Amino acid sequence: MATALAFPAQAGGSAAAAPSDVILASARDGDRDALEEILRFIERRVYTLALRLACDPAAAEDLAQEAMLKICRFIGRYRVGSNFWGWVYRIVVNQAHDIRRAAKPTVPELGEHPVPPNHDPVRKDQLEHVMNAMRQLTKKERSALVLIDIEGYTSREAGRILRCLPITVRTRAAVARRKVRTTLSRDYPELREVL
Amino acid sequence: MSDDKLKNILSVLPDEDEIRSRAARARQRALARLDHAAPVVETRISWIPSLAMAALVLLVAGIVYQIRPPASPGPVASSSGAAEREQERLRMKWVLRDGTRVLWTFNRSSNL
Repeated sequence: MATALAFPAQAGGSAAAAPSDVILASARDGDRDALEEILRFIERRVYTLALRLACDPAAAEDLAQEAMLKICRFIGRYRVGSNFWGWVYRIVVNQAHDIRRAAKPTVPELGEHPVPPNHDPVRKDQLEHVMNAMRQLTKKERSALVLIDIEGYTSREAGRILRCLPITVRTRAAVARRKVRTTLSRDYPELREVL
Repeated sequence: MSDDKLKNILSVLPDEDEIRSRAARARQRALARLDHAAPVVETRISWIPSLAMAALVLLVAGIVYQIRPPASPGPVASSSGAAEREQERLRMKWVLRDGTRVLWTFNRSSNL
């Protein structure tokens, strides 16, 4: 039996801050520094979304890399003033759906710092339980659950990102929620009360 | 209430150091790949539609050149006639029984 650590949902959805229009416009015009600044701005959220979709830290890193590469290439298609995070999330989600069909990307050797070990055993256990439960979902169920329950999007906003009807997203999220709750209730008894 | 508990459990993330480290590495690799691959990919992406469009234009031009508009049946009274096709338009010369000469010129849309 495990004790759940409480993690308040981050400020997500369409309310999250976006890079300034000036930076975005510069990046669209080919300014490399502006592009790098945008990536620095989004990298944490892109990686955490990728982790929740891929359910594996190394796979999430590859997914975040591919998604950021696409963001760089397609920044010219982004319309300044439109929903920036919706655009970013759509790229990450689409990449998560496509990445299993694609070959593993060629990664240049950069000789960076190694990933530091996780020092919090309770957090590590909880993360492992959650990842195991999320792996049992289909990719569509997982995307809906992540966008609505974790990232804080409405079903309408999530529907735009996933390109499906809001009711479809709600249905997928509900199915996913039930599956995940069933799995996690073995380790977290407080989730059993409504089963 | 239970939904809130579930959301809290699902919202767990690794240590901040690990997130920062992996996110930064993903960014650096993405930028490195962009520097290596972008010119090639951009060239390929920009040339493929252009070549396809040029081939399509040539194909359409060839078909239009081969298929010429059918000759008009003309008046029943005519006994003889000569059609002369030109590159841009169709010109028909008619000589009626009474010796009247008629000259019809059609444009590419078959308008008289």
